[in-house]
Amino acid sequence: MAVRVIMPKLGLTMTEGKIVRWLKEEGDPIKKGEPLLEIMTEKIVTEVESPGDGILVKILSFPEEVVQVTDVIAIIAPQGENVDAMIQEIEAEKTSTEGAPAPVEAVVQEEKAPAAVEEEVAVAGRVKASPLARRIAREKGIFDKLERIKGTGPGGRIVKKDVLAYAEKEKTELTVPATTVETRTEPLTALRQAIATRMSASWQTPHFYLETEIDAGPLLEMRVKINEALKKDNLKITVTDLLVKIVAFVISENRYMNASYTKEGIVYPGEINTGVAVAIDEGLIVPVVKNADKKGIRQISQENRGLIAKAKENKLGLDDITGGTFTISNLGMFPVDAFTAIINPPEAAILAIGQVVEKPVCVNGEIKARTCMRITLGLDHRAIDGAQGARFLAALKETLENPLLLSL
Amino acid sequence: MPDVAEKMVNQDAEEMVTMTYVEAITDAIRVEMQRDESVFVMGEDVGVYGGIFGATRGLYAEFGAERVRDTAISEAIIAGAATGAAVTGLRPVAEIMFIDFTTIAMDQIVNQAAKMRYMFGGKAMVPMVIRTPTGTGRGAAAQHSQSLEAWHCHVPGLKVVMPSTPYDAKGLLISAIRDNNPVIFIEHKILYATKGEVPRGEYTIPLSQAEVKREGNDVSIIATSLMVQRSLAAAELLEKEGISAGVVDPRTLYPLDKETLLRSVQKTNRAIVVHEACKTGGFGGEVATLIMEEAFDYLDAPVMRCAGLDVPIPFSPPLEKAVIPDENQIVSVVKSLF
Repeated sequence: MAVRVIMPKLGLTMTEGKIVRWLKEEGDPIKKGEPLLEIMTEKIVTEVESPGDGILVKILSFPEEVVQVTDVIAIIAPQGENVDAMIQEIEAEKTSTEGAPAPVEAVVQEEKAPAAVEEEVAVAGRVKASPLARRIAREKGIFDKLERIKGTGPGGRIVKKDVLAYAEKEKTELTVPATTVETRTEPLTALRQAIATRMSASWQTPHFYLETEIDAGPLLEMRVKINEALKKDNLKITVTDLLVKIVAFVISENRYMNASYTKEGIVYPGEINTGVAVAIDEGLIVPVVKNADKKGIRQISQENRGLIAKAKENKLGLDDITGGTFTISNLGMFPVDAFTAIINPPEAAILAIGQVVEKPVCVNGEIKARTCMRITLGLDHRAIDGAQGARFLAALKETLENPLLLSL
Repeated sequence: MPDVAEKMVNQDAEEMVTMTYVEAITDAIRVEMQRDESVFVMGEDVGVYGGIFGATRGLYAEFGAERVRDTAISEAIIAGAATGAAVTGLRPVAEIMFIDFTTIAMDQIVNQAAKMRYMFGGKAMVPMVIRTPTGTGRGAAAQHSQSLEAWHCHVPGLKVVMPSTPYDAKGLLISAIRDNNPVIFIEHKILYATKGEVPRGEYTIPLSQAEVKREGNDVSIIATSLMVQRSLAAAELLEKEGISAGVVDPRTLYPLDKETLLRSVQKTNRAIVVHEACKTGGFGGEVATLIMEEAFDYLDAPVMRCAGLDVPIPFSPPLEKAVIPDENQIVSVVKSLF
């Protein structure tokens, strides 16, 4: 009995998904539960498992194609079963719903050129090479690669010309790309496209920025103290964990900061969900800590750690990255003093964190050494005005410099 | 370079004449006897008869019985008398009819001639030459066909010369006669009849000077005596198969011109040694070891020996031919290196 593979609905808000790549080819046998393809929703790549046993007889949607959830994307059938009727049926469904057959453009995902595989000669034990071949190999610094060289002398002995040929080959392989870096085009990944689309859209938002410098001493001191206390549980919190908590706390006292501009009106979400921008190999992603204002620092820390780990492994679920109302972007681990971040729509504000720097500060006419941190608040002027932003920033600065206020 | 050196010593040579290897030897002795009265010839049947291979033909008539002396059939006497004559101021050119018979003269050669200069602190000189034919090819059987050059090379105090052409034979023999040390001058029976261009008059080829007989890029064939000619023929065959073989003739085995040999091997990265003497204990082992010791890192293949079989030389002509390297055998040994 043939099984239809459909575009799954992975989250409440998911309406469509993009085919990233098929992990099986037409004609491949497959078992239920075996990974079949990868799809992308929002910014997440998810592996889809096979819903049945049999042969992957027909692939109906190809990489880069965006497919509505529940649409059939492939057919799995037992060996020998004719699925022509089913394909026609599916095509007919499509035609009737869309009015015209969907253009099926097979975009073959560019694959990396297979690495030049050296013809390996497995020689048990000692490599048979002439003294001259060994000397040349030593001089050319490829003595340790002798075993990779194919000998053309009697009995497969590596001789001079074999080493020279190998060295020449290696030279072209190694030095040419090194000396001439050619212009290349990296095809856009789905994540890269999503970032581009969202950032371009956000650029239409009228941003304005407010920046202040805070005395990070008390905050860092608090972190040290908490970590000392958590030592027995083998836990450690980060500056970001504290920022998530404090920001959410200050937002809860200044609800106007939790805003979203829409044409229908400014939406003030009931929950305060703080996103933290995380750099991953493929780009950037913003997992969200929900209701951070209502959670303790320990819990926030644990959630953050889990989300970051999932982000790095590309395992974030749709719910992990949606629903944010405010974003924190921390580049303090780099020598970045301050920066202006682009708002992550539909949110109305973003907080950019610079590095902690020890520097002289004038306090009551005296120069004192202080650990300082610059924070920059980016705001959507359609939803929030300058004075509102300034008040929020003042409250934030006050709490950051006196974290005891959290306990009020 | 050998060519340049030879041209310099050849400047007195007036013209080139075609002569055989044996005529070149006679000519060398004649030139030296004319030039130096202390030079004389001795040996079995070297006088009226002119030597078993005719190497002293005409000398008796020209120089008389006192300077061209027939001896008793005793190689020990020949070698001993020559040594005594040399130590006391003459320059004997003694002939031992076959190199096989130097075994009888060995006590005089090894224990007397080779030692005196050392044992008398350099005060005694032994300016003697023992000429002796070597090798196979005439159906002379096991006691008249051996190649015993390695025996003589093993004795410090002796110089060992093995010419392969008429030109080399004359120039080297003149140098040997003028040398103040005992020289074993080994001639090849088969080469006696070979012809070549030889300068009239006197010229010398320094002892211990090898010659590249043929330039090559892929392999060095180091050969002595008759095997030089066979190696040159083999090189022609190899050329047709795309292997450029060089042929180097040491000419003097002791003292050996290592530089020329090594230079060739460093260029070609492969070497074989070809000689008629049986392989075990042969001169080829010495050359191969020298190359291994001093040019190891230039070798792209093992140094191979192409030599006579370890057997007494058979009387049967087909068998005699079979135990000595020929062109095809040299070609196949060379090809085994590629």
